[in-house]
Amino acid sequence: MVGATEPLSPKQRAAALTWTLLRAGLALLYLASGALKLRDPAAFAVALENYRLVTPWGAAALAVVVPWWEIATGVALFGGRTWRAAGWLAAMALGCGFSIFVISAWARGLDASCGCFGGSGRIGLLATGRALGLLGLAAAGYWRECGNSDSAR
Amino acid sequence: MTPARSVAVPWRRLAFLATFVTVASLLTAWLHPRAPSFVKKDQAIPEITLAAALSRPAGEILWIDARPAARFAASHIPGAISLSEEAWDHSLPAFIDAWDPQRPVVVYCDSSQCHASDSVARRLQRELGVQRIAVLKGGWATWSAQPSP
Repeated sequence: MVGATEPLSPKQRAAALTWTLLRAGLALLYLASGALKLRDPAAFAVALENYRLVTPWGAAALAVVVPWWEIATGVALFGGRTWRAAGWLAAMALGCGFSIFVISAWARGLDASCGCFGGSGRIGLLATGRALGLLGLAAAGYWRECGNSDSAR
Repeated sequence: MTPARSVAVPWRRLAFLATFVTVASLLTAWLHPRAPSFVKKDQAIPEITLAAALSRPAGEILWIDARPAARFAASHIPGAISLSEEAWDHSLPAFIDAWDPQRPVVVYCDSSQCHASDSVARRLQRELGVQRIAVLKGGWATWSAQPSP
């Protein structure tokens, strides 16, 4: 029959379910993270300044942009296919930014507040691994979403 | 066999997200009661909340009390060193003895209304090159408002 697709194998169904759960988990993580940062953008700006990568004005701008970027990413990841693709790309951009900040601080031995998830956390291997892990997950999600129709279910 | 379908870069969706983020960010910067300041600050001294300071390992922070000596004598944060602008030359040796460049320094005065902590912090930064320095948000008033253990 024209347009008919073959049923998914058990392995493909398991992979699809796993990716759905990962996507939902990541979306909820970004929604929560953005909401927490929005409680006190001024404190987040201070945390960003402590990384000594941007000017005070840049830190203030990022402090109001990043939370909404996280929230938009989280909402997009719950949408239809093109919205999810956009969400994965936005998540990759966030992951790149976080990784640059965290790795830079770790390499310079800075003891800056992590600024992660609205609270205070020390910069270290865990924060670096988390940033890189989220970046990798977003890249894999985008590749899967924008691949062929078999893998993007 | 149907060809593989792929999603091109969703430019329109990304443009919509970018527009949403831009508008929401501008409204936040304008209306949020805790919006960050975009005004340029000379030698900005960061603020640290009491919760963030207390989350550090015990004994890591070098507390500096910028209030007048009489108020320091009455009560102060345990382990704090008195260093006010009025008694700068007299009190500075004690600070130098206790200071380690790797140890974060937090300066406090009476409350968020006073500026002594900011002045002392800037002077330490300028004259001694202290880099890891912050002022306690809310000052002594925040510390003394803590419930007794």
